[in-house]
Amino acid sequence: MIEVVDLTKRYGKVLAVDHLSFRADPGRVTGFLGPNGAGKTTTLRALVGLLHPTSGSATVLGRRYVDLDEPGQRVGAILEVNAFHPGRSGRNHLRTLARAGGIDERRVDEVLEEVDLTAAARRRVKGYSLGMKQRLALAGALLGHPEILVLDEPANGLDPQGIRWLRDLLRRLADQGRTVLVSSHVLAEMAQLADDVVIIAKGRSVAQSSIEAVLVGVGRGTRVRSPERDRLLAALGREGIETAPYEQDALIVKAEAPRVGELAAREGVVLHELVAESGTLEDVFLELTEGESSPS
Amino acid sequence: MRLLAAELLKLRTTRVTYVLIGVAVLMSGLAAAAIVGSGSLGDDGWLELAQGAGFSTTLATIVGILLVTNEYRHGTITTTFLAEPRRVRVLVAKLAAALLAGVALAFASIVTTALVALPWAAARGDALPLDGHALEAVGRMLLGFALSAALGAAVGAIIQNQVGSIIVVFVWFLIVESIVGVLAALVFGDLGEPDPVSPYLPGSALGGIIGGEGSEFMLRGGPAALLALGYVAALAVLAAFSMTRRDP
Ligand SMILES: Nc1ncnc2c1ncn2[C@@H]1O[C@H](COP(=O)(O)OP(=O)(O)O)[C@@H](O)[C@H]1O
Ligand SMILES: [Mg+2]
Repeated sequence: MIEVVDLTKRYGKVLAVDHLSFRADPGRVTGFLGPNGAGKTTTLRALVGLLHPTSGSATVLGRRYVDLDEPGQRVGAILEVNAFHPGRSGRNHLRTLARAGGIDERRVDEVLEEVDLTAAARRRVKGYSLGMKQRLALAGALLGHPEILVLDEPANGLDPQGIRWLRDLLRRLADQGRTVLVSSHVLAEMAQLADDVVIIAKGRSVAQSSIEAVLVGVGRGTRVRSPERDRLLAALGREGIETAPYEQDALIVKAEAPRVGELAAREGVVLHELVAESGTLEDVFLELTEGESSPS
Repeated sequence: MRLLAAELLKLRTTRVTYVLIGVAVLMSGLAAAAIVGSGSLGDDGWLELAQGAGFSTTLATIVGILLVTNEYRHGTITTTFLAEPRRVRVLVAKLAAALLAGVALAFASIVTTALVALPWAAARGDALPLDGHALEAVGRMLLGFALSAALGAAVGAIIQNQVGSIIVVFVWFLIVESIVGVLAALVFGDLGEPDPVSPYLPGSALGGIIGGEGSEFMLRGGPAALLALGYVAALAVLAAFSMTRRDP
């Protein structure tokens, strides 16, 4: 489990993280979302002891990272896109990590296989593509069979297949009971990946819940207006369709517009408006972080 | 221990380590050839040869600097601190690795010097016995190289920027200490005369371990090594502060 409590980090005048609190639970993929400059990297670095918070705390498995026994075997993290010596081979990079973390070197070839880098393992990192570097970083994070994964923008530089592969991998890891915290500024990456989301802007939390609740809560789905709102609500409820109140006589319904229209016709409910919200995740994101994000 | 093993593996898996060893071999080989070839080998030929090879201690300092600053430059300090978040331990491992790297460079220089000087001196009929002087020269080389490398690592950990560290060290050794020497001479006596300050500067102390004999501007052997060790220790304490306080 990961717990961030009232975390604040100030760089001179810049308040990078502002009294942020959230948690990430085992067995779930928690998406950590926010526009560029929102404070995601700062938060994750504080979590793994790479920076000293101004105030508040960030703990892993109930302890500060520096106080963990064998952190290298319990927590796997990616904090930098390209943290490799360019002249060292991918395999040798992992060997240095294994040696420092007290991890059996046989794991090196295993994780190289897991991230599909075996063929390039003995080549210098200098010649790797961004996607290969991301996979090498991921291999480093997986080296110690960690219970906790902290990944800062791991999908950067991956092609669509790579993103799907990453999604499947993280899902598998979460299903094994591990805690997966993964940041992104691209919401689409998270839509089918995260179970829970924490959305921040300007260092502050703007939303935390399951991803469905966030989507419904801000109006993705179908917007429907009816003078017989309560009858419509009851009918939707019988069908097990999620809803959220919108205006006095309107609802946001998490279902496709045709389905809502047909249901209303069957029940004889008068509709005044039926709008398919084309809202993409980006719209949701903009809506939530409106006025919070600075141009960057 | 495993941190030290990791540091040594980092050294072994970057090309620059081998390049610097190669340069040390080349420099000490040339120095040995020049010294023996000039035919002026004196009573303590081994000391002269050690002094010739001693110029390579600058390479040891560079290895030490790179050992630390490469990690900041390429961002691998992040993964290093993830594996061992107690940063002072990382520093200690790096200082130990630097000492060993210095020993390796010294070893390469010693072997090269011996391989060039022994047969050549024998061919010329010059005396170059494997006696106590030889042993002493080896000891000076090992100490001088190891402490030079450790000093580089400590400075690298304080400054963290690679180019900055190299510039600071060499500007200090080559320019600052000379200026201090000149000023001290003006204050305490005459230019060109030994003064009471310059032998105690860090560069002179390091240089004195191998090259102090016969110079009135430097401490010699043991005292020089002790003083240099003191400087390295003091810089290591500063490095511990810098590494733990400044987040990467
Ligand atoms: N080392 C630093 N010094 C000064 N400001 C920083 C530093 N690191 C981050 N910041 C600032 O803190 C804010 C949050 O940055 P960051 O955590 O990198 O955001 P994100 O990862 O969400 O893009 C930004 O305004 C950034 O400019
Ligand atoms: Mg970031």
